[in-house]
Amino acid sequence: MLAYQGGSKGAFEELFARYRTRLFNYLRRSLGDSVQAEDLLQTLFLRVHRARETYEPSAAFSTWIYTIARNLVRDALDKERGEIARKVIMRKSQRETDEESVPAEERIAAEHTAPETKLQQKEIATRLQQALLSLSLEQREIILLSKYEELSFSEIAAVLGCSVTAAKVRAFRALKALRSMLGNVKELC
Amino acid sequence: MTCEEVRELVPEYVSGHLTSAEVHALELHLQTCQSCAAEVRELSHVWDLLGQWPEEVPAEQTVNVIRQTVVSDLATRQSAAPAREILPARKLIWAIVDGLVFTLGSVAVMAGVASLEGFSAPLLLGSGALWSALYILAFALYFRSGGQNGAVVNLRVIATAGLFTMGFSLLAARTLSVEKLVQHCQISPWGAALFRCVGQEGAYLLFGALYALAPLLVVSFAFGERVQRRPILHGLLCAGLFFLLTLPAIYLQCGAFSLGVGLSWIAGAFLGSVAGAPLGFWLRARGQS
Repeated sequence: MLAYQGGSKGAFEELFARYRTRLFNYLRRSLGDSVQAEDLLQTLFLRVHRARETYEPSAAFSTWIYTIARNLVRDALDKERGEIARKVIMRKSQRETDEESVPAEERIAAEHTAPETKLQQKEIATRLQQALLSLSLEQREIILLSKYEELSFSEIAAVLGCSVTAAKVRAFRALKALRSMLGNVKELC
Repeated sequence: MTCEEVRELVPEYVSGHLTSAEVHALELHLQTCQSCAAEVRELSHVWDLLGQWPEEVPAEQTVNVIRQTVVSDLATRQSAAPAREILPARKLIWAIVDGLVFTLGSVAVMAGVASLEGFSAPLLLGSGALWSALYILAFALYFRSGGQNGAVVNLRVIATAGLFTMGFSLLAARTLSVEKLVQHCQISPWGAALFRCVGQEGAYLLFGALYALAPLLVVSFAFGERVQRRPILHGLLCAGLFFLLTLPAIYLQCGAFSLGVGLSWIAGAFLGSVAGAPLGFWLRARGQS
């Protein structure tokens, strides 16, 4: 990051390669919308680029960048409010029919999977998405940061601006809420 | 471990962030508590289930737009940025002028403290030139001030603290020099006992250290507020600068002494410097945190 602050293109490329997919998935899972996540990904990296000189090496870079991502998600959700969930379902069904939108690796793996397993996986993914989107934003972001972004609870607490204990309590409650929502899905596995 | 404590550890347990000792303690509880065991089993299952939401990659077009925007902005800034100067000419002139003024002031103070007659003219001129160079270096660091906006080292604080301490040190030399203090000690009962214990070299080592440590500690603590991180590094750099600045002053005062006394004084000043400034910056940083 320090090299990027100094204007190094190579350093930017390295950071971009390391974080773009992770952040895209964080945004996609937070919003439940890949198209909106791509728009926000652009906004996010441009914001990081503009704010790079204010970055202090005393803070972990991952904490800094996820804090920016989290603020973007909150701003986007504040704008759209309840419309997000409706858009997700519409776009999801559109995406499922569009094979081109599925990444190549996933497509190859899918071709070698039995049809009933594929259906089952899609159903699980859809139910997971619905369950996560039904959580409050606070609960959802803590699951995303701990499960998918693999941040430690001290890093999560720094991103969310709360104590480590509060982050753990919130994570426990989020998991319990997910358990009750995913009751039927567990039977599929 | 209580059921309440287990609940607090569950998120870290399922995400694999617990230490082996914590895992052991938690699993020990699960062996005896059926309700916690069932809850942890179910939540672990939910955690594993979350892994089945596959990852996607952003569209190539989006990636290219971001890359092109950032890279072209970096290129534009690089070509527009002026050649980086170590110190602009105007600031360099100020550093030289200030350095020479401080040198003349310091020599004037030292002329009142120590007899300079024992030094040959070339030796005095050489000492003066070295002192000027060191003062100019200190002011150049002050005017460079490149470390103020979140950089690792804040040069301005280091230079300011070093120069302030040098001022204090000259003031102390003028009012109660180490030489006078040693003389005073020699005629006092406790001082005589001290001299018997540590000898003349030991006394100069001790007082040299105190004369460096005390002002550096106070000044670095006072300026430590502007040091956001790495207080020890700032302290060591400040100590190094002050020690270099004070060397000519010690040399001019040691003209009439033996080599052993002179070296003891220098060693004392060095020890006092490397202890005082890092301690002052560290104490301030600790107080702020």
